Amino acid sequence: MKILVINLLRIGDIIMLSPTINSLKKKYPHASISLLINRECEAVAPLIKNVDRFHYFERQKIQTSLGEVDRSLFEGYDRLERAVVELDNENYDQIYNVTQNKLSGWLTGLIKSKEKFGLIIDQAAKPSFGSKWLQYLNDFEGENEVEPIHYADAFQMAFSLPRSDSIELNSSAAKVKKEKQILLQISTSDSKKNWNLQSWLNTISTFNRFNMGYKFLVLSSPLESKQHTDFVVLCKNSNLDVELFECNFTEALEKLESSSLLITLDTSIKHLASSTNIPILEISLGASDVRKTGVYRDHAVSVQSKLNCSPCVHSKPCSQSSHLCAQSIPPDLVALLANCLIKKDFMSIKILAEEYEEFVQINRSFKNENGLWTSLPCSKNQILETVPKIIDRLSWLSIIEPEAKKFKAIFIAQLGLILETVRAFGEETKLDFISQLSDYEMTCSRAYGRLIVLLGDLRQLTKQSHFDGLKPLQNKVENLVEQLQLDSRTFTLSKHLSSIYQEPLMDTKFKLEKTKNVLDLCLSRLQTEQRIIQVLTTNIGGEM
Amino acid sequence: MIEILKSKRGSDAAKFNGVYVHSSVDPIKEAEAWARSYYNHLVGVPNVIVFGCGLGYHIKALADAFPNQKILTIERVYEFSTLAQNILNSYSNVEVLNMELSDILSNEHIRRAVSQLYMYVEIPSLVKIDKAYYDELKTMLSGRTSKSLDFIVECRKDHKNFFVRRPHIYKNSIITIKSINDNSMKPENTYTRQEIIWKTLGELVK
Repeated sequence: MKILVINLLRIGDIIMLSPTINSLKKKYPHASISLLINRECEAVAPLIKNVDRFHYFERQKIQTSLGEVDRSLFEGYDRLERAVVELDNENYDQIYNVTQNKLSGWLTGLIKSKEKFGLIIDQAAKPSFGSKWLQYLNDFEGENEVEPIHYADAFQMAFSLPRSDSIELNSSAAKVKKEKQILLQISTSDSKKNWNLQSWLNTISTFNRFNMGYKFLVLSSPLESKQHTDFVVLCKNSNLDVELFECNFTEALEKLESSSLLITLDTSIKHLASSTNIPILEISLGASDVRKTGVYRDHAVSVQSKLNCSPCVHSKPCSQSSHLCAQSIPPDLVALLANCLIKKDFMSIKILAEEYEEFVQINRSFKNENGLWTSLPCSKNQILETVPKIIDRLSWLSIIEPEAKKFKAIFIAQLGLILETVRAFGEETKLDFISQLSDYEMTCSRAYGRLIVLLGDLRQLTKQSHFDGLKPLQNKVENLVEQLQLDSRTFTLSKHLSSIYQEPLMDTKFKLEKTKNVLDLCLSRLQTEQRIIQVLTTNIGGEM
Repeated sequence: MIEILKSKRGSDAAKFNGVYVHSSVDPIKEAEAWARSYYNHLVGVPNVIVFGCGLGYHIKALADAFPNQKILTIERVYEFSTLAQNILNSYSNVEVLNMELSDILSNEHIRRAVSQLYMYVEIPSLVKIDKAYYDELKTMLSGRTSKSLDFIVECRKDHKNFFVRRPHIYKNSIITIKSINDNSMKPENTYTRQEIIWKTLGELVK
């Protein structure tokens, strides 16, 4: 069997894809797996396991030829057509598109294969996802109200693959002794994700006040070398022991294996480090969302701004007059977190999370063999805010995961994680937790009642031969949508309902049918949420 | 008009109207450096059209690097096109053309080249000799004006239907992927393979 996996994103995304590739290999051990990636990501290829062959998409060459007036208009066309023909000639049995964008959707539609999974745009320009998981990712992952699913989990689930819960890369590094050195990844290609160089310098300076003998190494690709050298000189002028480490990915991986800590922005180095056991502290700025693309491993710590705009939209410029999310991360806090991580002192991280909770959110990652990777806040109040979102996410999963056994495993693992986290905060938190669950339960009951009434109205209406009642029904739906939107805990239910009547081409009968389906779906989700609340209340309540 | 002189390294160099068109120090090294600057762009491109040829050093360097690719070189000065044969004669993948523009466009080699993936590159010191001629040639091979699009489509019969059905593309002074996708893609039952390729390309310039 021949399998082609398509990932036309960046290096970090390709590293993050490795659990999905390893899962494919588990499912089809005798298959030959090829990976299509952008030519610009070629450097990462030697690290990716279980790939028999790489194909490179000449994205930059095509883009350049299209954008320059004195280049042939047909150059891009010919290059793309040749790439498709080359892939057609491979006669792939299966194609997996793990890039959720139109470019890859069209491309997947063009390449011949017996079976295709993931986003495909067909000859009628109609997109299909082939999986409720991917449809969900497309429709709801951008919304801040929804607790996202990590991409490494989502693709494995979407393709019904056996579970691989860690990033494993080809590494030549043998077991090495840890050195007293801290690695820094101080810049990214996205200016919104960057932290001020003076903040980095202050972090090192503060860290050195309560730690002796640590050397700092600034990781650098040849392209970043100039900028990073300037930073190193700046540090040396302040008498700080900082060196530049110019390296390729393989060398970076070896250095990660032997170092005490990595402090990083949202970059490919972060994902590379996921495959090692180095403690990781991520400064998550701009569009970086740790819940979707965080360090796919246990016990990585991230710090991000509490500003409403954070995380922002990747493709849009910063909406603030200055880079506020970066300014809201205090260097002293980063230095203290680094100190705690080196000592594996998670209790102190909790204290810091509560002390700084007004400005920042400090998260810790948890992976689970049967469940989902989850990033949870370390402060009590922020945990209490996050639990309803996780319950909401579970109710979604009850709909999108086709295998009952898999959903049950996720359900048990996620509930176990919530219970364990709440217990760790002590008795007082249990009371707050029960009280919040009770509020949530009431919200769900109210929403349930309203949905039942609406469903009754709808049933009456569909019995009529003329649909005169459509307008009043539409008003009722809109009214309900407004009410559901008022409470963040039922916000995502409203998302289901709100789009139905905005579709001008849909005929009346179909609209009514769709409304009924959506209402049924919302009721099913509410029932799941109530069941989860009951389980959590019974467990925590019983311990008090 | 043409003077052949010895370069400092001993190989022939040339002047045209008193101006050096090859390095007076080491024309071979100069040509190799020029060819190297295109290696990355030309990998996998079956047809390379070079504007200018001179004594042929640049073309030789390119032909050595890409022995399986067809290289067409267009030289405006007849004497150069003859002199270049001294070092290019042994290369079966190289054609040197010296013609008026109208003849170039009806040339069988050129028409075959533009009917599949092709790129054109220039040797700056030689293009300067008749900039207007080479500029017009470049425009004709770009497919980005009505006249040149017609020329390319004529060479690529399989594209004719696509463009005939979309006459409004020709109204743009400069034809880009945006003008193709913005105006020509009307909702139809299904898209052809060609239409999908243009649409896919459209995603790359967003």
